[in-house]
Amino acid sequence: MKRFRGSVDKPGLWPRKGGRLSGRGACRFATQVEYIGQRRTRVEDARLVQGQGRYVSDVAWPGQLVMAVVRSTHAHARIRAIDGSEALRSRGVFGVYTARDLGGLNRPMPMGIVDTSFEPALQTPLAADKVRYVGEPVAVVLAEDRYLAEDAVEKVRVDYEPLEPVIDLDEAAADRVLIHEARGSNVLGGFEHTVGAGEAALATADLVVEEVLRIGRVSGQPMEPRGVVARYDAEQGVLEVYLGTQSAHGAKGHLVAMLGLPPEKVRVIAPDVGGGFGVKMGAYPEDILAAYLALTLGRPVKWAGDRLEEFLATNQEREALHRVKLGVQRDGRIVALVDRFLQDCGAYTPMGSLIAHTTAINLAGAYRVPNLYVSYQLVATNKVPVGPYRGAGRPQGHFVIERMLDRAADRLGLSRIEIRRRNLIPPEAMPYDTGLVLRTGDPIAYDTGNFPEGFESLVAALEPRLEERRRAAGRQGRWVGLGVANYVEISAAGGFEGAIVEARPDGTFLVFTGAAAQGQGHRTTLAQVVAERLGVPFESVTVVEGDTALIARGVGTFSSRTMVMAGNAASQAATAMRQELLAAAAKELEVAVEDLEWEAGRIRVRGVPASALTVGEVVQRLLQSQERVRTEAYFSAKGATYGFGSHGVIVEVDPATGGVSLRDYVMVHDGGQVINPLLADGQIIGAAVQGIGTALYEEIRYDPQGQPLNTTYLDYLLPGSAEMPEFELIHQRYAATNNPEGFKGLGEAGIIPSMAVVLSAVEDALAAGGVPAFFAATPVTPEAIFAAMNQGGVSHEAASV
Amino acid sequence: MKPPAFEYYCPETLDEALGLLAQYGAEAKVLAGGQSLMPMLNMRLSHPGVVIDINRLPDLNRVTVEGTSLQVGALVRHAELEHSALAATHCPILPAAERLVAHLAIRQRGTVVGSLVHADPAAELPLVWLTLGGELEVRSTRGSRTIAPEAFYLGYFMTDLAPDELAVAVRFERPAAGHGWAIEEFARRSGDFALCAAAAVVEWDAARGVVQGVRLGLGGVGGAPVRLDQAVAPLVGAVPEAELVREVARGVGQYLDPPDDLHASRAFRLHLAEVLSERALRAAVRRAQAKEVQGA
Repeated sequence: MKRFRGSVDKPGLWPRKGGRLSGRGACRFATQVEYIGQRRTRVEDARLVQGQGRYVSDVAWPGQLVMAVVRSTHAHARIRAIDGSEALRSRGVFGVYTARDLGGLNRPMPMGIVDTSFEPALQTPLAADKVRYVGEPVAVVLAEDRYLAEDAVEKVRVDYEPLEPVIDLDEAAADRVLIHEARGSNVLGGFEHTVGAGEAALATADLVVEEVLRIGRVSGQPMEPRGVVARYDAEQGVLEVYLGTQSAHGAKGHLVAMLGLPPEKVRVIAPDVGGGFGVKMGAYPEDILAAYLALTLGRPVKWAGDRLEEFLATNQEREALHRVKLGVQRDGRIVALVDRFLQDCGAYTPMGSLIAHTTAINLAGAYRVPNLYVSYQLVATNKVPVGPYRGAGRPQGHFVIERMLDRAADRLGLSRIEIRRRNLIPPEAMPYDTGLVLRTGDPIAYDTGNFPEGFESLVAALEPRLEERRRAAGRQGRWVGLGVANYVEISAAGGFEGAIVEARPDGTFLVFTGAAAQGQGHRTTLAQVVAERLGVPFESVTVVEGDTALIARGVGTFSSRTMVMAGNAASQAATAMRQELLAAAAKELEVAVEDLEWEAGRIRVRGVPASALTVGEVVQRLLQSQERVRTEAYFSAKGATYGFGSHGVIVEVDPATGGVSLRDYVMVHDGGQVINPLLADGQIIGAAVQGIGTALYEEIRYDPQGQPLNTTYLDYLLPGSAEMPEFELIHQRYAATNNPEGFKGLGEAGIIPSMAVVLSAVEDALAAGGVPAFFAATPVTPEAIFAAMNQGGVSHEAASV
Repeated sequence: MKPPAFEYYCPETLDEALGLLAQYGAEAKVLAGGQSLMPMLNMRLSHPGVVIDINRLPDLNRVTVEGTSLQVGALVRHAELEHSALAATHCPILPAAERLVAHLAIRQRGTVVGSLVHADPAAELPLVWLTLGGELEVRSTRGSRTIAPEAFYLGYFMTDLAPDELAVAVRFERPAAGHGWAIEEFARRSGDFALCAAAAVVEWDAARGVVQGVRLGLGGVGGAPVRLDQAVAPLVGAVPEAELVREVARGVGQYLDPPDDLHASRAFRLHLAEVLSERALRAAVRRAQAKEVQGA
């Protein structure tokens, strides 16, 4: 019936056979099987859609105790006393634990990333003296089941001395009330960076536009809430932890650090994980507490977080306040961008300054910004801690530059499309050094791409439709507008990932990696890479993820990094495996490797068809003298990959109600060498949907006392399928230069410009109706549009009912 | 998000159910479709000692025509009313309203009467019931009585139903044949509770080309749905020209006292009330006139 029209591959950009773009991305083996670049449905799906997935909450051990958490009901308060005696007498209760019962465990948990740029404020597993947000764990109850545990939670009496909460960013930065007293300030850290002449260059601009931009706080909301089951295997002396995580190895590191166990005595398994979006990373109190209690008590302990806890106690993101100046010449060319922003950290900094820093390095977007000054302050507030959510600063940085370009265009009387044309980085400037720098110290230098070509293909796809839509909607009294925005997705910057390929005697292969999926479909895409590089049928490759016992080292799936890191590692391990099997076959068949051909799972001597071995036979021979046939590879890309893209959307506004309907949504995206276009499209569309949520529907709201106001799906509005427009994708394929396969990250691409583009389109629609408006904050609700209409002095009579 | 402990009863007869209600009164909650009660239990917003599941009671799952009313039993699901041929014939506004109620899965399980007695001020069915008029049939061991919608709704989630009473059926008054109707609402997303909803029923005097009778109801603008008989009075006996309809719609605000809340300000709700009143009245008039043309 509707919605997704499928990808439109731009012909000519990526020759199907022979000379693939950029020699480094070329196919280096003459294999008969091509899987990289093939649209394939996911091998994961049959199991999952039949309800055969195994998630953390499906894990149950005999004798298991269930944990429920007593959470702070105050945003800011001192804990005077906790009385668990009544709860302890409650039916089915095994124990009630407060900070005092944890002894040495209750120290600050490790940060989820390496960040030495500031002194972090880290949460302890349980609040000891003070609570700093509604939802902060204060005590835990262990009981026979979750029902009884929740009964007991209601009976734990916590005596709070309420303190004045700090919710607003400016107020927090003023330090009238301190959240972490010992720090002496709510400003926990800062950063500044100058490109070119920085702010001084504004003096040479013909026009300087100034705005205060605010991005609302949102919640990632994976369908599967967080959860953990921990079990101590006394026989093996191993703590086994099932965890809904994006990084099994990272989680293992946190457990090892907190529990003081040797690494080989901790095993973390990420079974099927139902979405992550960045929030299932870092150390969370419940993970540490469940593992500690399982270890201490010798009984399995399970905590399956629920939806309310997902709102109260899982990292949130976005919220920031930007004070921006953009200097432009009369012709629209950017002279300088200046942004001073306050990044809300919430009550703690579990993931360091990642989001603020990523925001800062995304400010230039896809444009030449010769002079730039950015500074930020990390500000603590009495709200849920801030940690990465899909994009993790990329959407914020782009929101700033794209909103400011719209503003400048309006002020100059230039079209919003034209001002972008005049500032996009041209292909001849590639590689283009932005003057910004990655945390790794590597310069941010866009490697490949043709930005203007991509943008023009977007404009060409949408402009004709705009007039058509305007005519149709005009008859119904609706106003129609177009928004456009560009972006560069910086991905896979830093770290490594590994892959082990193991050959089995039946001629099939296993692939182990630490980069487990939470819905991305790695079991499909990594199998495509390995099957192609090995030259074996796709069906003979099985990817096994998310178990620290199966691959000792790993990083995880976030920051659009897995195909770049694990994809190249898998490619290299597969190549090594191929070479090992060829060498073994050569020995067996008593010929040189050069005399062998590899075809469809058989290795034979060129010109002597009878002299051949199947892959399985070669493996069997090898297994006569060795335990396993394995190859492994670890890959770390130098610098980052940079994927350009453009979004454009046509929206229809009902001026009488402020209702917004999205009509046509077109996305141009350069994913480099794409492994599976079907899954790539899914990633890009899914991310765009989440961005639309932030633009129009979602915002975590707090009252002045720091009480969260919308902690159910009744009040926190996720974008629904009925509200989503037609999506159309136009692919560009400029292979990345920092990895042999030419892969680029793309998991976050779709979310980057989607906030800016929707706001821009709504404004354009209002302008078409004669209402000048500028939206400086997300989300743009019908109420905000109603306010803009009133402010625009437009009588609602003008708006036909 | 697990419910607190409660005693569960699943009576097989109405007398048994009423006996339990008489015994437990305010301590008990009635479970029909469970689409509001179960979330409230899971979030521990409600701590009833006793839950009385009425799903096995006989004879409560029928839609029938009773005299001038369409009667809907207490176990009729939203989806059943949505697809009921009797409703489509006699009260076509009801299936239209049902299509605006939540989502398919919820409509399959949730009940019409359950929605009426839950009394969410933004729900569609209480609004339509109030607009059409009718009565709720309630039983208890003390006897039975009927309650009109005007008397039933007392405020946010509050009704005239006594703790020992069970609503067994609702009757919607059937408007005259050839009437025009409309329900217009504005919700943030498909299936959400409306920020504001308007229902209108217009009886048409074809001979004179004037409105013979008109009813307008608004939901989402206060603690309970509101019927605006006074505001629409100028339309009775009048030719419903666009200007007059607009003027009437502009006047609804003075009868309303909407709240400021998370989803909309008072001012925005008042604005929506005017916009949606106008849309609903116009659409109802159009339908009434179209039927006249069809009939001719």
